[in-house]
Formats: sequence, C-alpha cells, structure tokens
Amino acid sequence: MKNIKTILIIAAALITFSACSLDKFPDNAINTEEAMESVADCEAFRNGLYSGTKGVFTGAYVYVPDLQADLYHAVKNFGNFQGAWYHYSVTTSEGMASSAWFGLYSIISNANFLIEGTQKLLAAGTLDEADTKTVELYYGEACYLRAHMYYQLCCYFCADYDPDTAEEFLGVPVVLEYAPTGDSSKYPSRPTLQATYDQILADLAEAEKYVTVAGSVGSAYITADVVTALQARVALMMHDYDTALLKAKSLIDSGKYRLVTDVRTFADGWTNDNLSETIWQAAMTGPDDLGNAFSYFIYNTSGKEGEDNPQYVPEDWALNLYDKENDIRYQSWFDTRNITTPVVGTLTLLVKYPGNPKLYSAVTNYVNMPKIFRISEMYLIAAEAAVNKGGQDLVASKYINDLRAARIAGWKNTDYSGDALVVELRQERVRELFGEGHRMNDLKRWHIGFTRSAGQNPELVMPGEKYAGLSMEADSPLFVWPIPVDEMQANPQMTQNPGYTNN
Amino acid sequence: MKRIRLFFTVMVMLLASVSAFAQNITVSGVVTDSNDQPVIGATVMVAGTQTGTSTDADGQFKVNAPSNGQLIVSIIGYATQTVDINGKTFIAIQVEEDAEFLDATIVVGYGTGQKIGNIVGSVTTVSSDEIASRPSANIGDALQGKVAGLQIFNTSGEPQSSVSVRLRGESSLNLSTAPLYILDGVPVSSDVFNSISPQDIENISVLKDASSTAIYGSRAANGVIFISTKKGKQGEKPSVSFRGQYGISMLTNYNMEMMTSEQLFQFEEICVPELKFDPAYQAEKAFVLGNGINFDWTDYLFNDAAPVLQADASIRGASEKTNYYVSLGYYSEKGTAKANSGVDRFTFRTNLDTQVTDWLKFGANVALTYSGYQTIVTGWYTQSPILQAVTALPYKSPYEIIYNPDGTISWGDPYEVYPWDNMIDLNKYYEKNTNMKENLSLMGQTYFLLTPMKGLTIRAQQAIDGYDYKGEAINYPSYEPFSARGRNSQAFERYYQLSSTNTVEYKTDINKKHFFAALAGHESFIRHTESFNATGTGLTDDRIVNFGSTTDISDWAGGTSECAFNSFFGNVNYNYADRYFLDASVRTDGSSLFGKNHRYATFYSFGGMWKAKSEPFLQNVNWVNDLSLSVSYGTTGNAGLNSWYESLGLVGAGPKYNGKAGWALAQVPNADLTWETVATLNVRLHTRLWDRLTLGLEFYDRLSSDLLMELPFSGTTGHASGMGNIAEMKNTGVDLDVELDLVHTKNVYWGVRANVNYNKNKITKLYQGLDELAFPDYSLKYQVGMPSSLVYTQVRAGVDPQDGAPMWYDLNGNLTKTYSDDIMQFCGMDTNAPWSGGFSTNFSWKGLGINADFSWIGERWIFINERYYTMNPQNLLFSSNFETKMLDIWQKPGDVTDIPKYGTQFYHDTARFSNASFMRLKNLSVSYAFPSEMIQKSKVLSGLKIYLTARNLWTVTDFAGYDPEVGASNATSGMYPNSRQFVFGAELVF
Repeated sequence: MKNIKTILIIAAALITFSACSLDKFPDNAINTEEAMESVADCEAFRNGLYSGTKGVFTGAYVYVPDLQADLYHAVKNFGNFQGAWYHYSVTTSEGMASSAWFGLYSIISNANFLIEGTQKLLAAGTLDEADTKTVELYYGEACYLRAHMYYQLCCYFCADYDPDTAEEFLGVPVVLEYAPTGDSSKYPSRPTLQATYDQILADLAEAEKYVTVAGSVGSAYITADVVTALQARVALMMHDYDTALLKAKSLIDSGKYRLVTDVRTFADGWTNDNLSETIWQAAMTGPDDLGNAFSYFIYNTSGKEGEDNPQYVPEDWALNLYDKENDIRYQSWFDTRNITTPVVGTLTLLVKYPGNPKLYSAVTNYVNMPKIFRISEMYLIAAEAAVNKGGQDLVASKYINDLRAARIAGWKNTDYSGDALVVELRQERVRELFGEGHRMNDLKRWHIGFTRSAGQNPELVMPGEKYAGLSMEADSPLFVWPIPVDEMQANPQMTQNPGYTNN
Repeated sequence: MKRIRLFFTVMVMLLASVSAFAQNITVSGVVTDSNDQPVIGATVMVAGTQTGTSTDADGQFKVNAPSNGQLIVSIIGYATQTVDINGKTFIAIQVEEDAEFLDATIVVGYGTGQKIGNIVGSVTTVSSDEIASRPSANIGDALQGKVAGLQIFNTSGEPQSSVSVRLRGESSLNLSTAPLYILDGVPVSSDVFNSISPQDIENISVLKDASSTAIYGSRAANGVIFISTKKGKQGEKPSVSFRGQYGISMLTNYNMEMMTSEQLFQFEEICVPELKFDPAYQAEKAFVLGNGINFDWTDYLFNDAAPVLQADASIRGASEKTNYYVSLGYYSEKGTAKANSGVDRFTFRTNLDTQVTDWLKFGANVALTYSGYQTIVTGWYTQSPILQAVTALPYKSPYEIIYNPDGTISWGDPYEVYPWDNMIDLNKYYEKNTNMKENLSLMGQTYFLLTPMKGLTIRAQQAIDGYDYKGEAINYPSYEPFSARGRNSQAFERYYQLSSTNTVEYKTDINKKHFFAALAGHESFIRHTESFNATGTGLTDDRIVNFGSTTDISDWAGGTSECAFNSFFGNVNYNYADRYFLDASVRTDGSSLFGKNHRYATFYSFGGMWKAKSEPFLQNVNWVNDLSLSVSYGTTGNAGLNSWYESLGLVGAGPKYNGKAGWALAQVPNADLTWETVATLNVRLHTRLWDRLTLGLEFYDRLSSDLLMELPFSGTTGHASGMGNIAEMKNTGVDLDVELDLVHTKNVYWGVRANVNYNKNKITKLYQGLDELAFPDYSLKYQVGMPSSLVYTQVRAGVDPQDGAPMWYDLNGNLTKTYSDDIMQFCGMDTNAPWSGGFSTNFSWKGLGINADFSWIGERWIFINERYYTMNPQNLLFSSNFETKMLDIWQKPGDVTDIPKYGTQFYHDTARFSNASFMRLKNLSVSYAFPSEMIQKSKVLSGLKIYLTARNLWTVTDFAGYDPEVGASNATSGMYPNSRQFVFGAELVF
C-alpha cells in the first residue's frame, strides 16, 4: 500500500508539471489588446495611418473618377483597362469600388483605434507635458484622417451634398470605434448624407483644436494649414461659402505657398515632387516605399522612352482650353508623341506623373508623391465661393486672374462677371486640376452632365456611343459608385445606391 | 575432477543441512496460461530468497521452499503471480497474459488494449507484411486501397514526397483533412510516413468511428492512424534478419498522346494554310522529315531505369525480463527525372521494455531518421520537367545540329538555351541549380508502468517528436541563362513536440461474467516551430559556392510559433459474458489555438456491441463463425488551423511612413473561435461464415459543424473578412469489406479480399442563412444540399459545325456562344471521388506466394492545367506541341468536332476537366520462402525468402492527363509524375 501512495503522489506531480500554458502569442505581431500602451505605440500607429495616405491618393483612386468624366478618350484596342468606368458598365463587383470601400474603411478603423488609444492614454493622466502634446497631436491627426477618409467615401459613394437634400440622400455608415465582429446584425446602416458630413465637420473641429503645427511647403504631415485646406474643400462642397472663402483666403494670404510661374520649376516640381505650392504631400522615400503608379493607363506601360502605349488620352476640348504657347501647365503636363501601340499615330498624352527618379532605379514606375492639397486649389475654391455668395464677382475674378497670371506668361487681367465668370471658373478648374481626380466631383457639385467630344484624332479613339460618343445627363445616379457586392452580402443593413442591381 | 566433485558434494550437504534447519520441502508444479498451455521459461522464485528455478519445456518446475512460504512466478508477457505454498508439494499455477503483450490485443486509444474482437469501435488493421517490402519512401503508399473509406493519393512521383490521406470524405472546408497520426501512443506529425522505416512497423490501425476516436478529442475529426512498431516477443527465439532489395523506377503509364513531328507540321498547316506555300517553312519541314527528326522529349528528360534500393537489418528477441527490437535501415531512390532528384535515408530504431520489479516496468522507443534529398521544381514553371516533356516541339532537338559536308547531319552537344524559343535545357539547368535538403528527425518516448495491485495500471509516458531541417539551394555562377545566378539560399527549420501522457486504468471482473475497465488520463503537449532563411548573392566561381562567400544578403525571414494543448480524458467499458459490450469515452481539450471564450471543449462517444455468436443459440451453429453488430455515436474535433494564432486580434508591423516603422491592425480578434466538430454515427455488422467468408459492412453519417471559414465582413469594421465557425456539412457513406478464402488446404491457400467505400458529401448550412456562396475564380460554389467539391464552371456544348465557334449551355440548357460568368453552373463533376476501394488476391503453395493489390477510385474529375499548352494553338502555335486530338480541329462548315477553329480564344470550361477515375495494380509480388528443412541444414539460417515486386505495374484509366493520381487537390499542372518500380529482394533470418 505504501507503493500506491508513492505512485499517486508521483502521478499527481507529473500532471501538474506537464500542463502547458495555453496563452500563446506570435513573435511577429502584437496582440491587439496590448498594442496601444505607450507614446511609442501611438507613434507606430500614426506612421501606419500616414502610410495609408500613399495609397488612397494615388493611382486608380485618382484616375478612375476622371475616366468616368469627360477628360479622356480611350484609344482603340485599349484592352478595356478600367473600361467599365469609362463606358458605364460598372457592376457591384467592380474591383475599384471594392478597393476604395475596404481601403478607406481600413484606414478609418486604424484611425478609430488610434483615437481610442490616445484618449485612453490622455485620460490616464500619466504623461508629462511634452508627451501630452505629442499624443494630442496624434489624436488630432487621427481625427483629421478619419474626416478626410469619410469625405473621400462620400465623394465616391454618395450623391452631391446639397443642404436642401442632404437629409434625404444617404451617406456612408459612420463607425467611430474599433470593434470588428462577424455578427452581421451589428453592422451599421447608412445614415443621411447630412449625418455623415456632420461627423466630418466634428472631426475637423477636433483636428483644428489639436493639430497646431504650423504649415510648411510640401509637408509630409498634417499641419494646421492642411486642416484649413480640407475645411475649405468640404465647406465648398457643403455650400458653406463663407467658410470656404474664409479658409481658402487665409491660406492664400499667409503667403507661405507660392504659385510657380516658370515652366522649368513647374515641370521639375511635378517630376521631383518639390513644388513650392504644395500644402500636403504624402511622403515616399524610395523604390521600396511606394504608393500606386499613376499613369499606366494614361501613357506608358513599359516605362521605356519611345514605347508609349496609352490606353487613354486627353480629350481635345480640354487640351484646347489651354493657351498652348504660354501656359506652363500645358507645357509641363502634356506632350505630343508618336505612338505605335495599341494604335499607330500621333497623340498628345498626359505626362503629369512621369515618375520621381528617387522612387525608381532604372526604368520609371510612374509613381509620384501625391500633392493632396496645393495652394492653387485654394484660389479656385475662393473664387467659386465668392461667386456663389453673390455680389463678389470682382473678388472671384481676382483669384482667377491671380492664378492665371502665375501660370500663363503675359497674362492680362480681365474682370469677369455673371455667367461668363462661372464659365471661366469652371474652365480654370479643368486647366489647373487636370488629372487630379476632381472632375467627377465638380460635375456633381455643378449639377451638369457631359458629352464626350471628338477626339484629338478621331481615327485613333474608340468610337461609339458608349465610348467617344458617350453622353451623360446631369446628376446621373451612375456618377455615384456602387456599394461593392461583398459589402452588400455581408451587411444586411446596407442600402445599395440607385442605378445598381442589388447583387 | 575429483576435487570438483568433492567440492560439490560438500556444498550439497551444506545446503541440505541448511534446508533441513528451515523445514524446507520440495515443491513441484506446472505453470500454464489461460488456455491451459504450458508456459516455458517462467521464473519461479521463493519469496524473500534468492532461490529459484525456471520452468521446463512442459511448463514444469521443482524447487525447495519453506512449507509456509510463497512462490512468485514471473515471465514477460504475463502478470506476475504470487502463490502460497501452504505445505503443498504440487502446485498448478495459471498465469494471465499481460495485455501489453497479447498477440490478439491491440491498443487503440490509451491503456493496455483490448482483444481485437472486443473492440466496439470501427478499426481496420493492416499488418507489417503488407507494408515492409514496398519500394516507396512513403509507407502511406502501401496503405492505398487497403482500408475501406481511406483514400490515399500519391500526388507526386518525387521520391521524398508526402501522400494525401483522407478518411470517409472531406470533413472540413478549410481546415486540415489529414487524420491524426499516433505512433506507439504518441501523437506525431504526418511526416512519420516519410521518416519511419517500413520494416519497423508491426501494424497500422485505422480508427474510423467516434467510439474509437473520441478519446483523441479535438484532433481526431479525420480519423486516427495508429502505428505500432515491433517489439521483441517473449517465448520467441531471438532472431536476426537482413533484407536487401534492389530495383529500378520509370514513369507510370503515360496517358498524354502528343503529336509527332509529322502530325505537328500537318496541324500547323491546318491552322495557317498559307504555310503550305511558305518556302522557308516547307524547307524546314522537308529537312526535319527527311532526317527523321521526331524527338522524344520525355525520354530525354526522364530516366527509365532509375535505381531504388533498400537494405535493413534488425534484431528482435527477449531475455527473461527484457525484450528488445533494434533495427537499422537504408533506403535510396533516384527520381525518374534526369534532373537531380532523389532521397537517401538512414533509419535507426531501438524499442526496449523491461520488467524491473513485479510492480514496475519501463520501456523506451527511440527512432532517428536522417534523410538527404534533392528536389526539383514542379508545377506551373518552366523548370518543371514534365511540362517541358509535354510541350516541347518534337521537330526540334536539344542537341545542336551539325551539318556534315556530305549533306547528312549529326548531333552535337545539347544547347544550354534553345535558340528557337529561349527555353532552358533542364538537364543542364539542374546540374547548375541544385536544391539539397536534409532532415534529421527524432521520435523518442519513454514510459513507466506501475501495477501496484492486480488490475490497476498506472502509466506515465513522455515523448518527443521533432526534426531539424536544412535546405540549401545553389544557383551556380557559371549558369548564364539564369539572371539570379551566383546565389546560395539557406533555410533552417526546427520543430519539436513534447508530450506527456499519464493514465490510470483499472480492470476487473465479477465472476468472470461482468468485465469492467475504466481509464482516466491526462495529456499535455507543446509544439514549437522556428525557421530562418536567407539568400546570399554575389558568388562568382563555381568552386566557391558556400553561403559564407556570398557578398550580399537578401530575402531574409525568420520566426517562431508555439501552441499547446492540455487534455483530460476517460473511458469506461463493460462487457457481459462476452456477449454485450458497452463503451463510453470523454475527452476535454484545452488549446491555445482557440479563442479565450472557447478554449476548452468536450468530446464524447457511446458505443455498444452485440456479439451474437456468443449467444447460446448460435454457439452450436457451425457455419456461423462470427457475428456481431455494433453501433456508436460521438463527437470529435478538428483543430487543424493554418495558423496557430487565428483567434487573436493582431497588430502587425509593416506599413512605414517617411522612413519610420509603423503598425496597422492586421487580424480580427475572435474570442469565440473554436474547433470544428464532427459528430459520427456508425453502424457495423461483422460476420464470418463457413470459415471462409468474412463480411464487414458499415454505415456512417458524419455531420461536421462549426466549420471554419473566412467570413466576409462588412468593410465598415475595417476588415474584409475574419475567421468564423459558420458552416455545416455532412458525409454519409458505406464501407464494405469482403474476404473470401477460395482454397484453404494444408499446402495451398488462395484468397481474395476487397473493400469498397461510397461517400456522399453535402453542405447542409452556410452562414447567415445563405443558400450559396460562389468563388468563380476557383471554379467553386458552396451550395446547401450539394457536395462541397463540385466543379462550378461553364459547360462546353461542343462546337458549332457552321462556324467552328465553341458553344456552352446557359442556365436554361440552351446553347450560347457568349462566354461569361453568368453561365457558370454545376456540371456534375466532383473533384473528390465518391467511390473508392481496393482488392487483392493472395495465392500460396508451399513456399511460393503470389500477391496482387489493386486500388481504384471512381468519378473524380481533375482540371488538366497542361491543356493550356496542349490544346491552345491560338496562343501557342509554333511554340508548343499539342495533343493528337487537336488534329480534329474545325476547318470548314459542316465539320462536326469538339475542337473549335484556330483563332478561338482558349476558355476555362468543362473541356479542361477529365475523369480521373482509375484502377491501379499497386503491387504485384511473387515470393518464395525456402523450405525450413532445407534452410536448417545450413545450421546458420533459419529462414530465407526471395521476392520480386512491381509497383504501379498496370493502370486502367480514361484520364487524359499524364497520371490520374497526380493532382493534389483538383488539378494537375506540371507535377512530378508517378513512377513504376521493379524490385528484387531477399530476406534472411538467422
């Protein structure tokens, strides 16, 4: 019997010693619950958040809305690259709609996580003054980025904001905390467009409070000026012309960001991403740190000189808006070249994003750092706000003239008013912002449609009423992107946009 | 001599006097086993003394002992007995077999095992002689076609390759469908099939139903493969045996019928009629045909006599207290591809058990395996030999043509790069681009067995299963066609699993009528894996290619993962009069793999068996030798996740900004994540009639629930998807085993065996009430009520005879020429075979034995990716060879054919699938064992056997790809083709 006792003790000991801990964690990732505990953690998430800006302001995020509009013609044999957007055959499973939806919300969720983390850290009251400042800045930046991403979502997935209809149209779901779940009953529905914009304004107000870093030319980070610039852009969208004018004017008047006036500096600024008029530019440091390539569809897929094979070329009417002899924009951004594929002939191509030599080693990859805000846009916002306020045609004219004086050699100031002023303003937006992804939003805001015109060389562009001959009515529901099918299937609370079958 | 005799006389007298003093008596007796057979060599000791003796050939003994003393009888294989003398001079002692050593006993699960006929669960056992001599590095290959419901595919002919194993259909959509492997009671990884020497295996049991597997809990959803290695046997003469075998490998039946030079010219002229008037083309054609150039690329790239050899030696036996089995083995096989591929493997094993005292026993099994193997690129790459063999142009030759002055030609050296298409010569490529791998694996276990009282067994087992792997890929600097030359890539991997298993078991009976056994146990294990790899570049000379001589490092990576399980389990079984059996098991598993809220789960099973033959009313029915019916129900789990951290919310490093490192949310936390559960109902009928016919029929119903899937999330969560336990699926089927002894006389035996499985799979539930979920890119759709592996694609409806355009069926069954995702549909093709089985026949006459094993599967469809080359002239005319059936290409209105006109886009549709049903003569062997009278004359040998074995000798299939077995999931695409072996061997026993 002594044996048994001994044996039982040994057995009990064996079990006790052999039990393993069941809490195991990977060595290449951090448990989410423990990932936000210090200022350094906040900073890592801040870098992660900023990293996202390299992607969502480049490539298809920028050119797809332009392809939807009247800036480009597809050439023959264009291979239907992003063709569904161009000829309005978009379905709910279109790739870019899905990329934008999931991509932008992914940044929002990281922003939410950082906002919660910074708030918790600040509430704990354990930080010294310097750290408090830093964490507050991160909080403000996260609020800003959340606002900007919601604004981008509205641009892609919502109708134009009009104060009269903003309570009727749908916005995008507003999610303010990071709480991912597979429980579809907990997924949010779409609030009104008004509610979505209210959230954007609220976040911008927080950003204004905590991002007090003074602006600087080409800043890689969000500054007080960046917040102001987005406030101006959003205010114009919301028909809040007083604010739009006020904010745009304050940036112009600061004198910090100078419009470039000579063609060499201008072309160099676009190639090497060092424009003196940039308020915020997402930073990329080298060939292994890139955003999306821009111009694959616009002019060249091989990157080699003499091998241009554009899928899309600028429409003639837009090119003809420029004073081709004197406008530094035309001279910097467009180039007439002989093409052998996919068509043979001479075409004028957009060469606005030639690729920054710092970002490739041998052959260009057509990656440039996105200039998310430039001071010239503020001139255009100020002018448009002034026109819409009424009785300020002279103010508006002045902003247009100031911009043109910088861009066009020998420009003589001209005062515009009434409808002529509106036409001038709208044309100037095309000239100044060509290829920067604003055109579709402008058409929505101005409630106008378009008809694609004859091509630069009608022999070389895709003919037919779905292509070069396409006509779209004002406020077409198809200007608005579809909610992607993956979202529709996953989220029973989701409402599809008009004009798309719900599958 | 005299002195010695004197000395002994004195000694005997002294002893006698001592005995007299202690009132000793002479006790004689006999030791028998439970069958009343004498037990030879048992030790009979007088308790408390060093006095003792052994039983003789009749089991008898004689010993002097105190009349009031005790005798202790012990022998390995039997429970030790203590008997009171009580003055008796003759004692008959019956010893009971120690269950650990019973021949007819197998251990499936924990504890000391049960008699095979008493197991309630569904267990099929394959014995060693069906495995040992197979010319394959992977013992799984030998199981093919042996067990009803066990589908095994040798998905590659690479000598060191794994097999795909699936039991009773696919029980999971995304998790592992591989069974749990247990080696001598220790859970091990599936690598065991490659690292164990076949000669070391005593038997392999396949555990199919819940009653036999629930005790393994969360890892047993796909069944359990229980491997027992050999042990020394008490009562058997120690034996030393040697086995040597040598043979050759070649490709198996090669089913792709490709064009000859002449046919290919003809075909090219059909596609491009202008070629008939193209002088350059015609000159080339005349040259090729005139010189009889019709190059056999398969022969160029593959060997038809690659050597395979095997040599084993083992010693097996037992002494009084200890039994042992020691072996070493060598296996070497060259791949059929001339490109350098092959394996050299050394195996060492020692199995040892010893009875220390009457209550303590311990043992150790230790096996070491070293494998060095060379692999080549397979799959969808230009370096894949089979792809080149299939697609290379027969009117071109890798050898440079030398034009002789007399107008004839002769052949020079092979090109390094073929000038006509810039493809590389693979034989040369693999000389200068090597990929050597080395694996050292260790499987070791020790156990202590305590029997403090009769019927009570306490067992503590500790084990390690691990490997250390190194891979070295070298791209020699002198190999110019490869831009990344001068590289040395190193990969290191280390894995181990430490486990500890402790059980307490108690067996008893009441009046030999009610038999009870109860077992409780605990098991813990931890798995650890780590890896590191890096690529060095900048080597400049073929003579210095070591890693240290590289100048730059790129592509480095490394990491560690760990997971752990803690489990408690129990089993009770009861049997009344050998007639009624009940069995119940329960296991609670805790695992680090799963979410905080669902870390522990419990699995259970109940089973019952009625052994009708034991009933009085059947005992005298002579033509029924055996009849039993059993039913079991229970649950098991599947924890075969790809990552060990799926339940955790994770933040990953990676995104950087402005030169600074950043983090981002990477994985959704799911504290509820848990294992998949499979609930199995199993009904089994087993009978043997007329002492000739054995029939086993089983019906099963396996419901898999909580299936893990990547669940699409609302983008508003910040994630596109997350893992969730969300679907249900069912496998229902029948296993049938038949064994028939056709002739069974003293000298002649001829018998046949066959097994068949039919399995029906269907999805019964998807998440959120969805009826279907399509993955068009993968030709897959999950639909409630339909099998999970049905091909979902466009259905080809032939070719319009009028214009040669391909046609498809739309969803209403009408013909359409518009190819789109909208006409994707189920087309009745399943990539998992619902039918499978095997049959074998054994014939023996005196020492001569003939054995043939067939295995087959039915109604499996495979996507032939090679057809992108072999049936796609629109993209690849002049750069690829084509299947001869392409000569039927549509040419003019009115042509009725399945091949669309030249210039038609190549579509992904049912025309790229082929029925991969096959029947394969897996093994044919002829052996001769020399008669023992003859052998024994040698005084040295006690057995000699020679044999000839052919593997994969004959295959019947309609499959249009090169091999129906190659194709891991549902496609063949440039995989290493299977091989056929002819082997001669001899086995010597001393």
